[in-house]
Amino acid sequence: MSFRVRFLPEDRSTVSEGAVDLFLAAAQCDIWTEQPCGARTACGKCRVRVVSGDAPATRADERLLTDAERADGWRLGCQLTLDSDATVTIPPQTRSTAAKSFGDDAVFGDGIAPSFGSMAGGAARNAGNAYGIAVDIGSTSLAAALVRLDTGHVAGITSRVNPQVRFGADVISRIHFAQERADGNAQLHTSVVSAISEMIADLTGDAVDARQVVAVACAGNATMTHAAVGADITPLGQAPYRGTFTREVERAAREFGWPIHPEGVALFLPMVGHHIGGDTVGAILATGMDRAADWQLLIDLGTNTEVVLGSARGLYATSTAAGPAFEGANIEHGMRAAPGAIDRVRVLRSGRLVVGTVANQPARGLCGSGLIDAVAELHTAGVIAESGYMRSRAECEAAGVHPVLCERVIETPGGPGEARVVRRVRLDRDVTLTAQDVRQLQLVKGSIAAGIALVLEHAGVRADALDAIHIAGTFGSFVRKESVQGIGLVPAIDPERVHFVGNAAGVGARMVLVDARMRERARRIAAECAYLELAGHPGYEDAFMAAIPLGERL
Amino acid sequence: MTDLAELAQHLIDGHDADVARLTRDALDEGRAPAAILEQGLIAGMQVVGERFRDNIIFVPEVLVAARAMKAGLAHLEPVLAACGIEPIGTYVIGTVKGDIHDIGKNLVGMMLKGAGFRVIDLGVNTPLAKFQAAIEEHRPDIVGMSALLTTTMGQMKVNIESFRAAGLFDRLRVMVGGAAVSEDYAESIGAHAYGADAPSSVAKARSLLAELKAARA
Repeated sequence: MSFRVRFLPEDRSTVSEGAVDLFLAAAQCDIWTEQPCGARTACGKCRVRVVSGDAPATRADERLLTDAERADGWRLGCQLTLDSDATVTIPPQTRSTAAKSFGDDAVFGDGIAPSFGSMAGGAARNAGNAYGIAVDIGSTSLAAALVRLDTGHVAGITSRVNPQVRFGADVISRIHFAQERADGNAQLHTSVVSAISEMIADLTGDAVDARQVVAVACAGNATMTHAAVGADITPLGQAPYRGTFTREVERAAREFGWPIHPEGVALFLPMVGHHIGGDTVGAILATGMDRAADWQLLIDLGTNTEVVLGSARGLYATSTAAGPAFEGANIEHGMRAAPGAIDRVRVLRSGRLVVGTVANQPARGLCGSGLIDAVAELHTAGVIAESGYMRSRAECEAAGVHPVLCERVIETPGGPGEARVVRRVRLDRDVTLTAQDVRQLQLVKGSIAAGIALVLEHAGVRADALDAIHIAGTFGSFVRKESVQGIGLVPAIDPERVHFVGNAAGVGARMVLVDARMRERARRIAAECAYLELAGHPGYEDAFMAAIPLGERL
Repeated sequence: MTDLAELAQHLIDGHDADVARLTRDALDEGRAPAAILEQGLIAGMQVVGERFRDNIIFVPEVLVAARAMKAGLAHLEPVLAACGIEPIGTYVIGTVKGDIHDIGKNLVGMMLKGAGFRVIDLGVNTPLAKFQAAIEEHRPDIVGMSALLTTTMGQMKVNIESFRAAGLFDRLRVMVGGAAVSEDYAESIGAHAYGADAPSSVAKARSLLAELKAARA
């Protein structure tokens, strides 16, 4: 028996023949949703509201939602399966957002030695200028740029949510999906390859004919690259976590059904290894650190945070499992950087605490940059001790914290299995930072800072000798330098030398697409970069413990 | 005479040299080893666990406290064994096959020792056969398994099913934990308890042990 699922506020519907997971039904309506904790029923952030229809509360709903919320139709999206007519509202904070960049023209400062412009047959040239497409295959979002191959100029950009999110929110849950299902690898491959086809179609048609496009260059992490190429991703989820290849892959674009010139090529940036993929190789290329005279550090912030130390003298990389706290999971009022997320926090000299929100909407949660800002500011103001301990109001008063700020420190009774009292700092009317949130941030920043410390130690480089720190990742564009240094996430070198580079992987893909010398550099980076494994590293536990306290350090 | 409350306080503060010294002093004075263990080391770790739960202290402070406890146990354990004083229970712990993450598991192991358990740590990437051999050899009351990745947590289910098939649940209980695991998942694979963090794992281990002892009696 077929039934209809309707989504609000778009008012789009899909008809299903049998029981369907909410996320799949939403995806069929081109509505993309998040599962920050990977559907482990740990975070409670994927909530949706069932306006009409039959959706009995699950045990996870009972655990993570209040009685009033459940009565009002709220359910955890990751647990919701529908088998009859229903209308569901997907709130903004449960939706995926995609934003990527491909850099400016300055990356081709010393002219261009074409990679593909001359090779893909006269047909392209006869039809006009030759173009290529640079693709950033992120695990959450995809982005593509149409690039003129003679100038490197970006003629158009498009992006969309990586449709693989319907099979799992993060890389690990997609590998899990591929392990569980015989056709798992095939589904992951087909979905991403078709999404890239759609993006190519978006970018061509009017001004640029599809036959003028002679190459597609893709940068992605090891799992994304394996899936896009059509390789088995399951070995990447089990120790020793090795994939089936790391080298640059070049194929005929028609193998993937991509609508470009019939002789066009598809190129996938090479990888250092399973933890350091083509996206990081692209980012290294974009920063130019592989040619720098002095040592530089690249930190690509995310659920897995890659750390690369490099100069013309060598490249050393590691990967740290930072977890999804920056995306809002495990943080009581945590959320993505969507409208209404507190993304800036300042404590003024008057003791007043002021917040800024995304799109200046009323505050309804705390995103990664707001979390870092809040902890850094409250640490400086004396509310949070160096150990990460959140002082009580009386202790704040005794420690000389401004009386106006002390008023914001409150305590509420803890639930079963929780602390006896939950201590909080009120950031806005409905948004608080809890003592436990500070601990979650300490775990994340401890694992990243420990990775940085061990890579520096491995290469015999002192933190104060760093000439530059590049912070990549979408999240990296919004956070304040003073705060990332203030909590000790990155070494406290001169803030002038800390740069936010955004999604540098796309820039790298574009460079490889346009310039043969860059392509050669990418190969050399992948071949020469050394990888430092942290799991089982004898110094890791001490480095992690040393990196958990707050405060600036070099 | 050595003040066992002072010993406990040094443990809470992570002063390993003081804990070692006071443990030795207490033994030299002829204090009962069981009293030193319970009123000194275990009492101290109890406070550490409560403070951790209440967000007053965090992982590094727990670790230094655990190291201090180890310094005390080094003197106490041989004496306890010589007096025939048994640990409250035996706990076999390990990270499952395919997974090589261990900081959380190590912390649980240390806090269990602090609570008076004998802990056999099988390390990381532990195959089922190694768990089985350890169960055979050490006859544990509880087996604890950790998995940090959703791709490796399935191994916990495989292990639990094998323990069940071997009829081991007459005499032991299984706990699971790790970043990938949730309360619901633990229940769905038939684990007896889920440990969300180190102190709550200790609390659950204690209650599983009490339950086992009641069943045996």
